[in-house]
Amino acid sequence: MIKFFITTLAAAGLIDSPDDLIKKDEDQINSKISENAFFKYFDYDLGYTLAGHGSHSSHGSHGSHGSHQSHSNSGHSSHVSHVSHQSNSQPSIPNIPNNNSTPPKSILPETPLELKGTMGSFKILTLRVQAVLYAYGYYNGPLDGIIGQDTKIAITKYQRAKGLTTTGTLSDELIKSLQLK
Amino acid sequence: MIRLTRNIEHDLKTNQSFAVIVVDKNESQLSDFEAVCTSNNNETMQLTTKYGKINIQNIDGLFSIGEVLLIFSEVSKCQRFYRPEATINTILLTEECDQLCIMCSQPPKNKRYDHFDLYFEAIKLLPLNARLGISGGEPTLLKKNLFKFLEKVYLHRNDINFHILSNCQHFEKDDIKLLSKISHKILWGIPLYSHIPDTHDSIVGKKGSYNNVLKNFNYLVQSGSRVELRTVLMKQNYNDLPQLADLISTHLNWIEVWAIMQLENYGYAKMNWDKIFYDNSINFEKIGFAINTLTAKRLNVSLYNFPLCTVPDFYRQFTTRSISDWKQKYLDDCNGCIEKQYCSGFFEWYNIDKGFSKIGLAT
Amino acid sequence: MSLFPFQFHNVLDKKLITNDAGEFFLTSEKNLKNMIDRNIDQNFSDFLFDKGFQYKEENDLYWNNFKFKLIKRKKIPDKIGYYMIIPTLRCNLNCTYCQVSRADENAKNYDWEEEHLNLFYKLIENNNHKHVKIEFQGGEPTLRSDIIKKILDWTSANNIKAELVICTNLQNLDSNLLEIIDHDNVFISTSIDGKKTLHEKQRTEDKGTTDVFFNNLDYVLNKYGINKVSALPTFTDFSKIEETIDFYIELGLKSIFLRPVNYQGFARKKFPSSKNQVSEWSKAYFSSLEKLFIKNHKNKQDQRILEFGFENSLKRIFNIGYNGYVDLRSPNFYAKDNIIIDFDGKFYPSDEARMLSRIKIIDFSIGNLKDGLDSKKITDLNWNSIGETNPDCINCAYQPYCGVDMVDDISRYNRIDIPKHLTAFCQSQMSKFNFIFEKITSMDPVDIFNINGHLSKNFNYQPPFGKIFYDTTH
Repeated sequence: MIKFFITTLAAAGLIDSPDDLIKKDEDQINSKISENAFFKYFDYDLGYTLAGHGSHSSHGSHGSHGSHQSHSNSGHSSHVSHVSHQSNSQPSIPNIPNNNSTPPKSILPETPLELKGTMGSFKILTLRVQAVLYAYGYYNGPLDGIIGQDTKIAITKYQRAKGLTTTGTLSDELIKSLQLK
Repeated sequence: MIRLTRNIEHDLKTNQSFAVIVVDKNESQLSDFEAVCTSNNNETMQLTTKYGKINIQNIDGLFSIGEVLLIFSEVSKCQRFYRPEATINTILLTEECDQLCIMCSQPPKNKRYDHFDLYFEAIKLLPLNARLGISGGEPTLLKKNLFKFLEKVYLHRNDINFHILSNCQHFEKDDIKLLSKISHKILWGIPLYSHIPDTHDSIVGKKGSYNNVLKNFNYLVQSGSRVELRTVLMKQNYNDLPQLADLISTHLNWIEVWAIMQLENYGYAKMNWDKIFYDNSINFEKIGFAINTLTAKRLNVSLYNFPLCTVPDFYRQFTTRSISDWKQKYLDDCNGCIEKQYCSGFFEWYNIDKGFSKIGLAT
Repeated sequence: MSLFPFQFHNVLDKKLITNDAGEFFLTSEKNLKNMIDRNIDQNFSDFLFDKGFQYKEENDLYWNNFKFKLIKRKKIPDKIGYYMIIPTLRCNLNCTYCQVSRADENAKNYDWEEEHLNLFYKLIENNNHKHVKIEFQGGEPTLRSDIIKKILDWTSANNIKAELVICTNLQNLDSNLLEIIDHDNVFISTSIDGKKTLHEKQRTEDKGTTDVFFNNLDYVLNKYGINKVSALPTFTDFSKIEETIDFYIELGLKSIFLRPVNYQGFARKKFPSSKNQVSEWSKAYFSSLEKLFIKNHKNKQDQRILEFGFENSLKRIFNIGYNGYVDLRSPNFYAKDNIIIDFDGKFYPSDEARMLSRIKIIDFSIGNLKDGLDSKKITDLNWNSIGETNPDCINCAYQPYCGVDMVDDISRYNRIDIPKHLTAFCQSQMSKFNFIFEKITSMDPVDIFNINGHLSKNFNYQPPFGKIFYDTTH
């Protein structure tokens, strides 16, 4: 009978699990869980969870082959009020915030910007600046590589906050301060 | 448009209200809570119950087998409580509300329909695992009796699921106990319009609403309650969507789904339309950003009441057929559209002159 | 108000701060010191509340949401929904690096017995999971396509919603197999080690066999489309990565898992450097990944390909609750949501555990179909499979995203208590998380573009997170 090279789990450094402790604790824990409704969140079996199944490992092993991971994404129905009626009074409308952002686009760009020549790299640099200012919370506009009104305002805010010359443009000082290569 | 409350003529031997389910049986075999169609000529329908006969004029289609009706004998009305073929069946509980949302399609009135006992009787007739909506006004203004009702239903029909709309202003610490017991049977539809408290408050017309929502959320989360967070898209909050998405994905991970909703051209929304309607067919960008933020973190997002042709291709997968069938329609422009079967279409009262600039034939 | 427990790590010239719920931000050393000293001004305090790093009082909404995220990251479902079974260890190929130590095609006693089937069905029924995934490994499982067919038929006859994945070398596409894969819920996983010459060198040995494979692959891809097949390579030669990626793109595949040969099976003798090759592999891997990012950025959507290892580590960071990949999670409890069933009916905690037992390194079996699971042994394993209590892991900023893999440790070092930073597993994960957070910190649009593509299949420039820099100038 061929024996195993590592004869016991302990020989590999594993520590025995304490028998009694585990059993006693497990019962206590289980009853605490069933009393606490918070844990229901982790049991809800929702028809439309994004992943097909939580426990599926896409590549469970380093065997010769991997495996497939499935996804499902079905809709979810809603409802508003039942019977609608006319009304007489009219509630007040809050103001719409001012918005001078760069010209709107109807769809997010499907094909990315071309990485060609100096024109391209300027756009890329602007994109990076926009992204970093977004991450700081100064910029909330579209990430389009175009220095529009909103981008100018964001750059100026940042420059002011950091004590830089407020140019509203991609000055060398700005690039250095944002630590972009 | 299907009218759910109908006038009736009847010879019923009772002036109590009662619930019946439409069955396919012989008159002589009917039990107390059953009704059978004894005549139908496209103009009038006659239902026979154990208490007598009911005539309904100008019916919108046949009352199908399995439909549950509420008969209000004293006032000669019947209400189509549960239609098996409906997208959703909703109980309008009350028209009273303590908020005054600028886009409210059910503006507040001093009327209640809290016939809890009658609803309970009707629910006993529903098929297994049926789903019911509860709406208003603000249902939790009747919180005490509503909770009693929900608990009673859970005791007798623990298969029934509820979708309850609420402004989330009136929950209390003591509610956690009951909510915990039934949280798996209820999906709470709760509105949040912005991450900025003042913006949310002014949209709902109530100062302090935002803080109340968050305070109430803490009771809901402790009871394992399931929440469908609803944000109606308007000019006033379009720009806030990405940051609202940040808030949700950092502080509200426990919600079940975030629903971004387009306006329904009814009630206050109709009156305020020009000031609030946001045309996403022109610029979808911030909505896209908000959706991106949630999907990157694998949280559920849904677009309600967005016709597919107004949504960029990639984001159409998040739309759903959300408009209740009784107030839904398609336009002439929709003829021949290949996406029609997947599309929510438009509200019955959609005004094409004031609506989306770009519609028609999703490609 | 109080801070939730947090850890920190150097990323480029900034400090990365993470907390147990996996929230993160980058800041300066000065601000980190202030956090440690609890010397937090109003501005910083507001930021920390916004990012989920603070709570006002116990049991408030911040607290409860933190609790939720914590549990969601760690909790493993209690029901087995994923079964990996080995209908036979026999194989009709003889790959140079065979990790499972296959048996000869004509060997005896390496197949599932008939009685295993009924016991397997009972096991599935007892676990009563709504959505079951059954993966067939081997050897070459299609040598027993009759077993696969029986299981497929049984699931449909008993109304069990099942997804079947057959991990096959696709050498033998006979009518039986074709009939099985014709079902919508059956998928193929196969090895494509690279272009023809490379694939032949490592796996198929002669031109004839190689041609059969690629013809069969073409057939399946043409008939069923790319959603039916997933493929992955095994690298013994790290200079071949880019050409393999290009080849995958050519084939129209949407995902590739770049991985080096593992220190298992025949590879132990033939490729002994696989015992610890993290440094060489990382160099080649990250360089290829960078090139792939540029390619994805330049190409149109239909030519873009995702790299699974990167995708997996990314999702461990951003998708709270993404813990289905057993090689990267903590606590890593065995026999809870998945189980391996060998050809002889024995249970194993993972595929690698099975491989180690096969070559008699250590007995990782945890019961068998007839006698059931060995709870004591499973508990003993699980007790040692918790990163959250390991002294080497508790202060690591990546712990919320990382994992623990005792099988890998034992495979390489025969022990699980080697200091973590000396183990290949830790080095590998650390290098991947460093790579990701460096990319996040430098905010290069091409990187963000690819991060989004890998997270949600939506390639775009919008960073998938809010404000993550707090006053990072020194």
